[in-house]
Amino acid sequence: MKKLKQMIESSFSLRMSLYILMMAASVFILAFWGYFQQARRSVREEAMVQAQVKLDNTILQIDKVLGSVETAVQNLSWLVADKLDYPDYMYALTQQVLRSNPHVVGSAIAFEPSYYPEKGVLFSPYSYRTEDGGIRSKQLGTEDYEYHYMDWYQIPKLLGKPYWSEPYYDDGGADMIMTTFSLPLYDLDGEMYAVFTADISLEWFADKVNEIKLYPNSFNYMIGRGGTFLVSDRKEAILNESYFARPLLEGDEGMLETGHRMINGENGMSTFERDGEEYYMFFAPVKSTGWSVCVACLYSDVFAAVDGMRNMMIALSLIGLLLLAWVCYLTIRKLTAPLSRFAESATEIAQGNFMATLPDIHSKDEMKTLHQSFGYMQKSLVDYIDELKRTTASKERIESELRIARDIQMGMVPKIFPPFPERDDVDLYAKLIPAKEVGGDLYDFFIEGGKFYFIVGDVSGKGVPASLVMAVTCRLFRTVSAHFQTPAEIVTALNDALAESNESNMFCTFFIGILDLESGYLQYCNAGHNAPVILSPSGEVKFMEVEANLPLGLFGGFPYQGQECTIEKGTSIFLYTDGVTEAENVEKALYSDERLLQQLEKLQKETPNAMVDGVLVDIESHVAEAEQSDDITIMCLHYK
Amino acid sequence: MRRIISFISAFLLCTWALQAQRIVFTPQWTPQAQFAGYYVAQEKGFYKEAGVEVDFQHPSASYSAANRLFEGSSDMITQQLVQAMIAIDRGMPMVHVLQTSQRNSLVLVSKSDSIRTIDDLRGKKVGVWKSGFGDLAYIMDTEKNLDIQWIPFLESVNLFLSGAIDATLAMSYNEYLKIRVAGHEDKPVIRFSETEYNYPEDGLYVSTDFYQRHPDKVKAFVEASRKGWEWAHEHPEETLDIVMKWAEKENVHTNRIHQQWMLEQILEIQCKDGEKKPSFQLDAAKFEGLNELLLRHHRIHYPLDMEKLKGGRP
Repeated sequence: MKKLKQMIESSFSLRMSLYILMMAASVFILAFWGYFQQARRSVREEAMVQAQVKLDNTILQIDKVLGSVETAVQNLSWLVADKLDYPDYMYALTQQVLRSNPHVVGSAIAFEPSYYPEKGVLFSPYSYRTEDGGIRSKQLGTEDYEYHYMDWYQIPKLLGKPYWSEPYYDDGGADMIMTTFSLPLYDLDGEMYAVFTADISLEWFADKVNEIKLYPNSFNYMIGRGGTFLVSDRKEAILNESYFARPLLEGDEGMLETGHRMINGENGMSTFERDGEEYYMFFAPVKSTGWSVCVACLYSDVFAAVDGMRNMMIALSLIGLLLLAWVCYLTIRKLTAPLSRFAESATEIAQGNFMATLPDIHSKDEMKTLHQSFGYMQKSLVDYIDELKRTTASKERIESELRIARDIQMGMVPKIFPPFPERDDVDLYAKLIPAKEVGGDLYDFFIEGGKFYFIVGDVSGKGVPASLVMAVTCRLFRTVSAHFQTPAEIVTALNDALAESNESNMFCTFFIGILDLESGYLQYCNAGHNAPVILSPSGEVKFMEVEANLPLGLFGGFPYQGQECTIEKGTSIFLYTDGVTEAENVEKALYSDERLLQQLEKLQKETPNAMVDGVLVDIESHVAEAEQSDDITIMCLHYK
Repeated sequence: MRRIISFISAFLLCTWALQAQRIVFTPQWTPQAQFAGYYVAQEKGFYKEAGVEVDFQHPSASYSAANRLFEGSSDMITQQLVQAMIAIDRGMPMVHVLQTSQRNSLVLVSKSDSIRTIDDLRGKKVGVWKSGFGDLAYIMDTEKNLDIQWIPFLESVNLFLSGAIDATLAMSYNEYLKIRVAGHEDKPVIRFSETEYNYPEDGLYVSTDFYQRHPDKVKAFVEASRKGWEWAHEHPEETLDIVMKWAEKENVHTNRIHQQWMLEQILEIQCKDGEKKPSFQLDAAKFEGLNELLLRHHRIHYPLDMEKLKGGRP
């Protein structure tokens, strides 16, 4: 099962064929179901019509015979009245009934008790057929046969109208079921004086009913007014059982209702079950006697033709659908075969062989387009990879050069801390973090003749151009500082030198301080740089008061003003570039001067190294995910 | 020669002895579940076990069970209590030996819903058996001044089904079932067992002569019959098989379902109201009530004594 699922999932043609098969099958089932329902309906209606026609025909024949018997009796009844004075003539009359109608097996004229006193209490001339075909007569009423208590006498008398008796077994003769037609005869005063009867055997009717053969397994029966079986395929049921017994016993309301419809003289149809088989039951009444003739047909018989056709259609459709699926599968597989070859080529290309052979396509459809696209893709890939190779090579060269430039730049600023391990009057820590491989920030320091020189600068712009100006500025500072005494002079000289050949209009903010390590006397000059923070031993943390002045390199000959102050031992000076206060997070919020001051207040008791690292950590937590946008330089010195 | 004479006399002696042992039993009518217990006793060998040989001889329309007993061709018969008391009053020499029925099975079935109570029957045409069984209904007619027009019928229910009469008397275990099964299952019905005329019916009777000559045999027969009925109460299905076998043997036109319903009814009326087992005893109060009723309506001329009825000497 899993294997089959895998097979379907991995084969487009199989999957497609299955979809088509399912669609076709659904359409077929729907169409067939509709057709089948319609066909069954038609067949059922046809069966009903056919059954009704057969039933009507049979009943017509039965009615005809019953009618002829009624007529035979009625036609001779006037003779009874006419010959009332000749009681023995009645024998001839009953014989006449038998002669006039071959269906009649017996006839009697039963007089009211003691009607003819000379004939005794019971007088009923009776004629019947003998076995050899003759007709014989006798007087019916005896002490053992008090006919006036018989149904055939009493019921028409009480009802005051002709009456067909319920069929009964003939006492006298062979196993024959009979029914008697009784016509009450009245005198001029309206008093009934006799009942004129004719007996007929039910055999002929039974034959007529049994002649109906609608389907191979259909069977027929006829029931009397009280549901008694008069004709049935089960001989033991005849005159012994009632239609109603079983439904009453089993509480089958449907069968009971059908039974009532039958004995009430209705035409109709119903269904029932016998030995686990479903039957249709068609019934129609014999009005004069109150009998009901019924034909029961097996469902499977009625629908045999439709069911046979259904089975054939299902078989044919199954074969057709399987054939369709097979053809679909083959066609789709043929159409999509290049796809797998394209897939192989694509895999080869992916593995690096851009010139892998593509499958041959001879058609002019989408496959051809795909082939062209693949060819174009191959060519583009080759071109692109060539271009990429070239670009990568040149990029690698630049990167390597930049790495070297960075090393050189970093070599320009002092990087060994503590820088003066032998001294106990000053400690210092500094860090330069360029935003790119190389940057425009700078710092430097040295001690010369008991004076501690320190600078921090920031060249406008970033990257290689800034790094070149930075390198120039650093070298210039070392050279110039040897010839001038005060920071202002040094700055002025630096400015002049830088401005002189500044064609690209680059500039550099700059701060220089010269601390007399003995006295704490600090001279300094600011050239457009951020004011450093001074942390007094008393705990005061504030920006140094600095003149703004202009950055270096803009205007040669600018008169820079120096400043001075004396700092106590224990004072720290925190210098930095704008990469610190202007460090941005993703929301573009700046690190800001305020936060720097707060942070420094927290860190004021720390060593320069710890203070610098503490501020850097705080900047990092502010910046978080955002990219570093500017070079960061921090220098912290502690005067002890 | 002497040997031959002695052989013949021995043979005659034997046949006489055998005949003396045989009991001819006649139920009221042809085989049906109404007499199931007796057929059971015969089929299951209860009579044989009790040492009696029973010969079942069924009556006909022209030769009833009572006639057979009277003429001596039957020794034992079943009868309804009312018929038996009337017959004894008229000099029929018979003794009551077993009471099977405890409740009255007479019902009045009417054609339409307009007849639902006894009073509704006033002036109506009502069917009654020509052969009898209508005494209690006639008494009811007289006592309640119903002025019913009684129409006698032989045995079929066609008179009623044809609509020729307004109502008919029927036995709850027989004609009433036939009416129900003829598509008239919901006709209104008045049950005598629910009126003051709820007197027991079927019982077993023996000719006085036989009773006096073979008291042991009678006792044995009664005990075995009772055992037969008790067995029938416990095994209704098998009982039905036995009844059907007898019906077939005697060529009775009937069917199993009808006999099944009849058996259910018969077994039910053998138990008094609220009881689940038959007592097989004649209720003295019921007997006295009936005695008085029959006397009042001149069905009998002298009150009968229950002990005498049962063969004792008061």
